[in-house]
Amino acid sequence: MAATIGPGALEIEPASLATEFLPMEANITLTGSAQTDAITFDISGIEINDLNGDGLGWKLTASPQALYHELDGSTLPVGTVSGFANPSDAIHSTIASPNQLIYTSGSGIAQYSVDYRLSYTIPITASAGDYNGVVVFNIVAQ
Amino acid sequence: MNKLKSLVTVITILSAGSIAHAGLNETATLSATISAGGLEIVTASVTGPHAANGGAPVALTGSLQSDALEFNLDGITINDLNGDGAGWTLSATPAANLTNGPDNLPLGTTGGFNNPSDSINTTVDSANQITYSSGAGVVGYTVDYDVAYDVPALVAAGAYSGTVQFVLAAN
Repeated sequence: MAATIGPGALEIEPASLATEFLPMEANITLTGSAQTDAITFDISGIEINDLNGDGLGWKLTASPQALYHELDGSTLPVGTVSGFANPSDAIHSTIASPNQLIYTSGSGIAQYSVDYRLSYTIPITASAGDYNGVVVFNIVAQ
Repeated sequence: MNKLKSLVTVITILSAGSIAHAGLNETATLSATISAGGLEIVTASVTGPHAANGGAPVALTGSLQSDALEFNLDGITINDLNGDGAGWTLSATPAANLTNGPDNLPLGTTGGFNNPSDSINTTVDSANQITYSSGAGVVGYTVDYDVAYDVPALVAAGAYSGTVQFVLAAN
């Protein structure tokens, strides 16, 4: 008998980001003043699988976008980005910057997890209402 | 031999399917709701005490001194963050007298509201009332208010006090 098992993927597990993320704050209200970092999102448990067998590590980057008002298109700018934290394999993880994490082991890994946190600022002229936005995560071998 | 070949093919197909599933870019969707704020007079903008005539002393003269005590309440600040799409009305009710125990200084001339920061959308309905017509909301709107009290010919010297009540209501 003979069998060939091909490599798997280097991937961000889609299910780990499938949920719509809501702010940590229960109530967010206009005050007439700018509210720095008033809205914080904790994106916990971003899951990575490195099964491509290339013997390399990988680099995960995050690109947060502004939040957009559903009706009038006004925006809430990105505030403080605490960024990546709490990697499940801290020994092989280097947080190069808040928006970049480097995994140095090339031996492959399944269900690696890391958290990401960022805040948004409410300008003095912000509108009340519903806002939406995204953080785009990208992973590449290195 | 045919069975062996078939098994290899199946494994290869499963592997290819796994690679196709790879997510090099994934997106986290964020959603937040900001609630409307209030329609308010900023308390700090009216908190006193406010001194008459900029703090200059006033002396009894034995004659009626009309409007001898003039108060300039500058920078009364309004925030309209309630998102109702309506404007608002601000009214003032000055005390009929400044008092010092049993002694009174009667209300004189009310200069009233003046110098609004957004004059285009502001109507001075009367000395004691303005209407703001824009429903777009406003932050840090300011307006001044002037009121004076008389000093009768015969009144006790001393410290007198009183209030002006401001009321803000949505239109």
